Amino acid sequence: MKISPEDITQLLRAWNAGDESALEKMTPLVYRELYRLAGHYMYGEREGHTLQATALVNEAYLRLIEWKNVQWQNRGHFFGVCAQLMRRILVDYARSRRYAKRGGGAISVSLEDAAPAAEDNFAALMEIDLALQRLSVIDPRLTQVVELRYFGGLSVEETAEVLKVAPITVIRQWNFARAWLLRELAGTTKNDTGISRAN
Amino acid sequence: MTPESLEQIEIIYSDALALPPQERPAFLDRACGNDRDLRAEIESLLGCEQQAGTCLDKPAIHFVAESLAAEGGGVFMGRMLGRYQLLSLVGRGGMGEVYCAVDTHLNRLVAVKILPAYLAEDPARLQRFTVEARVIAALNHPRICVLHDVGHDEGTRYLVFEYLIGQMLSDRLSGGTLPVPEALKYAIEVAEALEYAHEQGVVHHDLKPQNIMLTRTGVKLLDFGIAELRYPDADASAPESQLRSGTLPYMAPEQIEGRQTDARTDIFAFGVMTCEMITGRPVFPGTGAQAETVMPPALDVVIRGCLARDPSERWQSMSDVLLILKHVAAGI
Repeated sequence: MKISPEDITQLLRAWNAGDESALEKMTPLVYRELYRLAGHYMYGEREGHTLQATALVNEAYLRLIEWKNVQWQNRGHFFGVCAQLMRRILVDYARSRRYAKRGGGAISVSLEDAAPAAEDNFAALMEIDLALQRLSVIDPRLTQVVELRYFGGLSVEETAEVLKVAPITVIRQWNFARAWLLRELAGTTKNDTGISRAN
Repeated sequence: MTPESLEQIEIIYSDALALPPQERPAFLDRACGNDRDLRAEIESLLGCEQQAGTCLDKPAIHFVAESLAAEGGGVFMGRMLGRYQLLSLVGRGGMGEVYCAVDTHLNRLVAVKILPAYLAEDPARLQRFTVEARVIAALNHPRICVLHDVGHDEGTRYLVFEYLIGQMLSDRLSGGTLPVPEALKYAIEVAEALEYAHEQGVVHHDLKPQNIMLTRTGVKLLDFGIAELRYPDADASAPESQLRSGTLPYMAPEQIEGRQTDARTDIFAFGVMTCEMITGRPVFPGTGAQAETVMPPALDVVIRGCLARDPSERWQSMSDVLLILKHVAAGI
């Protein structure tokens, strides 16, 4: 009863059409990759750099989705949905880890005390998500680039192919979006009410 | 801010970024001209570029994974045990670590409890444990946490339970006593679970608020009495270890004294627990002014009937206790 690529395709389609229960079924798959990577990092097999990191995420991605075997009308759309799903699952996860520590009661039993740095990281991911929502109001194309590259783990070339633009355009957009998001994050850490700077 | 003007900013920013820092001011003179807002915008973005080691350097899943690794969440994080992939550590009981995990065959979340090593080292103990586990696994009741599987992988033995989300009663009680109607509701739900288990011939043996979870759908009892897990040495119920595991206040006299135990042992613990929910302490309050919460007289009688030191003086079955509690609840 292992989950097949066809099942995953159906789940992605269902989620994209607004079926939240599809998200529940996809969540364990993403968690498995997340924790496999975490175990990987913990036991000293340090991945340093972006190139290797992207390759690993792609590998995880391929295993997750086996997209080569899947018939999608529009590959770009497919990757877009995957990236959105990854975003949703990872941000929800970061939120649950943060609030569980404060005794929100969402997760059972007594939790490990998170190292303070780890808790800040989960908070940062939530801030990135919020900042990205603000960005999408100003410029949806940039949001797509961030979703595909940051949450989907696609390389510049892959992102360019999906969005049907030149790689140099992707680089330009990613650099800008990255700086814009970092600036938003710096703004919110100073001002804890979460009100960002108007652009 | 239109997409076109944003695109203009993107291009200028990108070009500036590509230059060595000392050449940027001159470039910006040319590119921005008199537009000071534009220049300020670009400069503030360039300022952020200095930040090394930020959360945006790697894909998000790596960022989160590294954070988890930094937390040091349990030796088994990310590993496979049999067909289960272990995720985060969700608890450390007296008897080993409990992880949230994925059952990779059924693609669902489960809770995996890693069993202590001494279990595997004694074949007789292991055999008794396996027999008991089978009995527990046969329990099927909405108020009892389901035991799905028992297994071992390269010397590590584990139990696989239903994955529950909720709050332990012990945590709930650390925030203060419960109003009587709420306490009664939980007491009745626990009593239903115990009634069923006793009918199946299973005694819990370790009933306490730390083993009761309050979920969205009501109470769930955890850690049903696998005795072989509890006593690591021949000198069975050493009180010091019970104190450490928080069990001592709930232990019936026959349990503490190492005598024969049965369903009435659970009834004792049940009485202690119910008392604690209402008064805040797992002992019966003294008469009169000391009691912090008013204990309804009927409930007082029920609890005293659970707490008799001599098992033959207690309520003899959970069915009767349940019946009484329902009458009390209806009358309040």
